[in-house]
Amino acid sequence: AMETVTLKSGDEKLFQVPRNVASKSALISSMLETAPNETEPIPVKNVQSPVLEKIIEYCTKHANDDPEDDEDSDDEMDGPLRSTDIDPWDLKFIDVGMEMLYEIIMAANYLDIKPLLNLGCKTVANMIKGKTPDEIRSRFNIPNDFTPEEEEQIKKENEWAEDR
Amino acid sequence: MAFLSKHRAASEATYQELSKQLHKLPESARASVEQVWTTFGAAPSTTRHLILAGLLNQCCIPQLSFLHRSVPPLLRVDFIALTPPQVAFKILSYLDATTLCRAAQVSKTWQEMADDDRLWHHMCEQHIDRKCTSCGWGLPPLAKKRRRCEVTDHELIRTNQTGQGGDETMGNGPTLALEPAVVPPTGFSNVCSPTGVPAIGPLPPSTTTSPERPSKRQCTTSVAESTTANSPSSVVRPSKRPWKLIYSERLKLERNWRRGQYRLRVLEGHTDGVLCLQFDDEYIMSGSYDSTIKIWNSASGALIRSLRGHTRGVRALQFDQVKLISGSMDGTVKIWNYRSGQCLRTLPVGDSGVNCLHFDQTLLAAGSVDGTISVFNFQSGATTQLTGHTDWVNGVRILSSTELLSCSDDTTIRLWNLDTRTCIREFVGHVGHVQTFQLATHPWKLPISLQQQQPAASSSPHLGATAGATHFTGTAADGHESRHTASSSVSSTSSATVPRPLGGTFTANVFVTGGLDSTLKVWDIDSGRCLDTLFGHTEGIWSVALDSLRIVSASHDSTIKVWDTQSRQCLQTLRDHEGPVNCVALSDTRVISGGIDHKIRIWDFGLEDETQAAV
Repeated sequence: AMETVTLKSGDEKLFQVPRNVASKSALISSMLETAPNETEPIPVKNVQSPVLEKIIEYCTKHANDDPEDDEDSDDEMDGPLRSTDIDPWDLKFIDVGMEMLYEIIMAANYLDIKPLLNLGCKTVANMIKGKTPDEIRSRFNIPNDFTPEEEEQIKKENEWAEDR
Repeated sequence: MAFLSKHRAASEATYQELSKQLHKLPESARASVEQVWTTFGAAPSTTRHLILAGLLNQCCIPQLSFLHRSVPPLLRVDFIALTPPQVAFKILSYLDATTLCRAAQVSKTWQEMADDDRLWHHMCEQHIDRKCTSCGWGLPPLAKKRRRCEVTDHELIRTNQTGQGGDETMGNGPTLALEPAVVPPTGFSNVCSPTGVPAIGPLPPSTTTSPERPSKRQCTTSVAESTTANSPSSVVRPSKRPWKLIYSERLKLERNWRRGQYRLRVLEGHTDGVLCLQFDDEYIMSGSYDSTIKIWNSASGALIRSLRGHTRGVRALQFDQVKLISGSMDGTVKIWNYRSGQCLRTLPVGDSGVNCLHFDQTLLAAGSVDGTISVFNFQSGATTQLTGHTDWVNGVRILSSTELLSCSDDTTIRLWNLDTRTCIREFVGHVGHVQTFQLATHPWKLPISLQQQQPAASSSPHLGATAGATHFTGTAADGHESRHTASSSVSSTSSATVPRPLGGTFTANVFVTGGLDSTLKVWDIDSGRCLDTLFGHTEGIWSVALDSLRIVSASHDSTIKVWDTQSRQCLQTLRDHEGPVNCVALSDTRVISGGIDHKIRIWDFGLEDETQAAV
C-alpha cells in the first residue's frame, strides 16, 4: 500500500495524501525527513481547507514530475523568464478567482512548492502584461496614491519604454 | 481565508461614506444599525459566516443583486502590495521592460518594486550585447558611456542613497561582464595594453596578463573573460548607476540604429582616396593613396598629425596602445610610435606591395600583391612565407600562434598552419575577388537549415588528419562537426543526412567575407562550409566590420549597409559617399568609413547628450 501522510488545514480539516504528493512541498518534505515516524497529522495552519484542497490537486497531478524540472530554470535568473509557456492542465487549474489565486500563491510560497509558485506568479504577470497604469489599477483595485505632479513626472521618466 | 483575512482592512473612505449615511437616519435606527455592525465586527470568523449566511437568506433579489455588484471589486487583490517582497519580485520578473515601466506608474508601492535594481539588472543581462531569446531585442554594451559616468555617479550615490536595495545581492562578476572597462576595438582584437615604454626591442612590447597565448580564437572567449583578463582598468569599481537607466540609454541607442537616426560628420584632410582605417575611443587612424597616415581625435574629429614616410598608398594599418603598424603599396611595413610621430622600423616585405596586415603579440603577418603572406616572429626573429594564393592577398588574420586565415583575389579564403606552413582548409564559394573578412566576436547560433545546404570545404590532401582533429575538437561547435572535419575524405552529404538532436539551431565559429561578386558570405571556420550569403549591394564589397549585433559592409556602389547578425537582413543603407567606399569600422555607437572621395565619414548613432558631453 502507498504510504500516506495526514495534513491538517487551518480550519482543522484532515487530508490523507500519498507521501510523494505531500513531499512536493519542500517544507513538508523536510518535516517528514526530520521526523520520519511521526504519525500525528501535520498541521498546515496558514492554509484553509478550500485552498489546501487545490494545493493537493496540483501536487497529485505533478507528483511524478522530475524534481529537476521543479527547480525550474526560472529561479536561476539566467534565462529569459517566460510567462507564456504554461501547461494546458496548469492553465485550467489556475483559472480561479483572484482571491483564490492569491491564496494559492501565498500557500505555495509558505509550503515551498516552487513550480506552483512560479505558475501563480506567471498568471499574475499575464494579468498585468500589456496594460496601461490605469488599467492595472482598476484590474487590481489599487488606489492611485501619486499627486498629479508626481504622476506626470513618473510618466515622463518612463516614456522611453513606450516608444519602440 | 487565512492570508487575505489578515490583510484586508476595512477601507477608511468607505467608512466615512457609510457614517454620513448613518447620520441621516433617525436616532433609534442608527443605534440598531451600529449594533449589527458591532456584533459582526466582534464575531470570530466562523460566527461571521453564520451571520452572513443568515443575512443572505433574508435578502430579496434587488439586495442580492446589490451584493453581486459590490463584491467583485472588493475581491481584487493588489498582488504586489500584499505578497511578500520576494513573491512580488518574482511576479515582476516575468514582465517585459515596457510593462515594468507602466507598473512603476501604478502606485508608490508598485513603483518601488518595479524600479528594483535587481529586476533591471536581469533585464540588462538578457539584452545587452546579445539578443534576448524571449523578445528578440539586443542592446549594445556601450562600455565607454558607462565608464565616463564613473565619477559623477559616485557623486550621485552620495546624495541619493535610496533605491539601491539590490546591491548586496549583485555580485561583481555579472557587473564586470556587462560593463567591460576596456573593450578591444571592434574588428581588431589585439589585446595589448599600454606599457608606456617606448619601443627598444625588436617590436614594441605588448604586455599580456595571460601566461599562455590566448585561446586559439579570441573571438570565442566570453566577454567576461576577455575583459577581466585584459583590461588594465578592471580595478575600477563598477559604478552604481541604476540598471534601469542603463537599460533605457541602450534602448534609445538601439532605437537610433534601428531607425537609422545618426549624426554625420565628414573629416577632410586626405588628398586621395582613403584605403584603410581603425578607431577607438581616443583615435581614428586612416591610411590613404596619398601615402600618408592621418591620426584624428576620435571625439572631436580634429586632425592630430600626419605620418609621412611611405612612398606609395597606405593600404593597411593596425594600432594598439603603443604602436601603429602600416603596410603600403611601396612594399614595406612601417612600425610607428604614433604618439611622437616617429617611424621606428621599416620592414621590406617581398618585392611587391603590401595589401593587408595583422599583428598579435609577437607575430606580424602581411599579405602581398604577389600572393604570398609573410609572417614575422619578433621573438625568434624568424620570417616565414606562406605560398599558395594565386593572386593578391587582401586580408590576413592571425588566429593563434599556429593558425592564420587569409583571403585573396583568387576567390578563396585559406586557413594556414603556421608550423607546417601549409594550407589546411580552403573556403570556396565566392565567384569574385575576396576583399575582406572579419571574425565573429561570439559563436553564432544559426538555423539548422543553413548547415545542411552547403557542401563542406575541401581540405588539402597533405593536411595531417590527426593534427586537424586534435586541433579542432576544442573549439568546434559540436563533436559531430569535428569528426567530420578530421576525416576529410568523408563526403559532405553524409553529414547532411544525419539528424541533429539540437532544436533547430546550431552554433558555429564564423567569419564574414565580402567580395567583388557583391556578396557577403558567412563561413563556418571549423567545417569550412559557407553557411549563408547576403545579397543587397549592387557592386563589389571592399570592407566588412562586425560586432555581436550587426555587420557593416562598405561597397563600390558608394553605400554602406548595416546588417543584423541574427537575421542577416539589411537594416540600413547609409548613403553619402561620393564614390566607392573603401573601408569601414564599427563600434557600439558609430560607423566610420573612408572613401575614394578622400573623405572619412563618421555616422554617429549615439545619444544626443553623449556627444555634447564629449565635445
